[in-house]
Amino acid sequence: MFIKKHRDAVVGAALLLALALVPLGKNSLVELVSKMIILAVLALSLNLQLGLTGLMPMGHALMFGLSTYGYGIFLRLVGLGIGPSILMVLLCVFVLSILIGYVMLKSGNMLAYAFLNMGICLLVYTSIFKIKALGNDMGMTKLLRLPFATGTTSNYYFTLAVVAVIVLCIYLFNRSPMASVLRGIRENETKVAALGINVLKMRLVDYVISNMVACVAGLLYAMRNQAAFTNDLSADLSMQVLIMVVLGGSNSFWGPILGAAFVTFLTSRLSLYTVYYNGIFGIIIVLIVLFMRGGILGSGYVEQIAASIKRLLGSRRKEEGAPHE
Amino acid sequence: MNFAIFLQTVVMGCASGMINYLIVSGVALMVCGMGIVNMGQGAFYVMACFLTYTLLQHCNFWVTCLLVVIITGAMGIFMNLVTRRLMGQNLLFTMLLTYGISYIVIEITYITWGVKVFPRQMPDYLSGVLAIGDSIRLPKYYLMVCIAGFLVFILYWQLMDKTKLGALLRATISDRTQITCMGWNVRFLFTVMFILAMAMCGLAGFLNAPIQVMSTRSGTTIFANIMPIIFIGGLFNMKGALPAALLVGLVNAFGAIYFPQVYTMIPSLIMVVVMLIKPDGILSKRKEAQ
Repeated sequence: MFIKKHRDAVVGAALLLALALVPLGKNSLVELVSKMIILAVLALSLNLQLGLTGLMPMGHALMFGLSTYGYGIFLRLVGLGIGPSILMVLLCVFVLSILIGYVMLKSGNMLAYAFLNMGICLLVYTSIFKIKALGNDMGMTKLLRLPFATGTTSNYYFTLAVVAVIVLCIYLFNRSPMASVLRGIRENETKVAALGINVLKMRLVDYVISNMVACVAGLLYAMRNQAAFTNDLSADLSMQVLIMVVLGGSNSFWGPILGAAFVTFLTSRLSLYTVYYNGIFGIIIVLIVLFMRGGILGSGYVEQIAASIKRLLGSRRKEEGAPHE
Repeated sequence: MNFAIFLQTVVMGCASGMINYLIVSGVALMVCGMGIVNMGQGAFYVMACFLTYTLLQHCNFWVTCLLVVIITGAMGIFMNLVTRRLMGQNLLFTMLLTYGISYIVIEITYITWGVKVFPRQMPDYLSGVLAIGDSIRLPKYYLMVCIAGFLVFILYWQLMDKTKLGALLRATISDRTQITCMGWNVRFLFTVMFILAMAMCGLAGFLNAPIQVMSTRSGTTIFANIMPIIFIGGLFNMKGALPAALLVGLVNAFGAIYFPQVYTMIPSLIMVVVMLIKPDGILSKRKEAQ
């Protein structure tokens, strides 16, 4: 009964425990899991837009990449310390996302928003390649980790702590009244507007929150890699995050996290086993989109499996001599 | 810049613009007719390039043209079958589906052709330059591409405007339910649309093969190159494809001369500006209030 009522808390605690035990393995495993949890936060931030408000950001890697590069810019080009750099990056992403979000959302057309998102991401991506100070196509290197988290294991625990706090915050946000308003906007925009709610403002707030979470994920990623790469801003990563969310399930909370783990594993490790990793990735995307549009956790398969297990267990208990009802 | 170089740049810009126009008009047809944004058009274009490379070693130039167009058009049937379930559904899923298909097609291209690099071949009467006056040297193949693209444009709109099939296609684009109610087989019309779009993409690949050496891994970046054209021309606007393609082609050609460092970002910049100011495309009139 306890498990059923606090199912999310139990899953979260179990996941946290499992992740805390990861550094017992090899360093490469720690690096992989570290990437998984950072991209899980990025996927969750995209789901804040897709799952709640129904916005379809096709260029979500923009703020992720901008915060990795911003960290590099403030740390190495402007010469601030680690703490002030982090604060400046958060501030800049905040201001930028308000401006860009307003420009993208004011037409109210969701298709235009999706492609404008991708367009701006592409624009910044092609521009970054040409700027010599940002390392051309090699990206910026020698970015610093926090002074108490310089080793692989300590950086992993720091990342895990930050990720745990953010996941908790997103979970609480999903249960807040504002999330209900956003879901209303997704379902029936006119009705919500008729209730007196400023739809543009709500969407903008959602966009800014989503980008701030992506910014934190970007800072963590810059610290994990100790570098900023051009791939962090690419349309490739944007589509990968979208696939993570769709694969895991856009209408469940743990879906994007599962999707992120799965896709990160596919893109990082599959290339070690076969040359045709792109094709396998493509086949998986096609199958998921054709047959399991709700994703793994959102299509109801988990509930179906749980129900059939319960039926199996229940029928066994009945055979053991319960009185005939 | 003297007139000769100016003319040469114009020709090369128009040629690359025409090739891009062929790809983009396929995407525009699919978007208007079926609501499917085909993010995988680049992958089919690369596959058509490689088909051309292989077939050029065995066949005549014009026979290769016909074969490549037919084979790529046949892939349209396959695309139609796969995307049939998602017609009219949420745009996100169709885009992800075509994105996945592009990965599969790129992988098939990689499996079939590996990392072989093919020499550029073209028939002798098309290679070389056409000399006008003392100083103007225009490459013959690029002129041919411009003329071919323009011919396809004229033929395509003749098909759309003057034939019965074209009338049916345009009607399906405007009002699909009405056509279904009138008894036409809309599924067959969708297949025709797919075949047309893919055939034009195949032609683009064929025209591009003798002048550019492609790698099998470049399929994913092609869509990033043609996306500005799609949106400058307007997403639901089929008539905007040619002006937008020519504009981007010319901008790229002149930009490569004047701003060699930053010219790749100019199309994206124009795209963002156009999407903000005139979301229906650069040559569209402002929509009346609906």
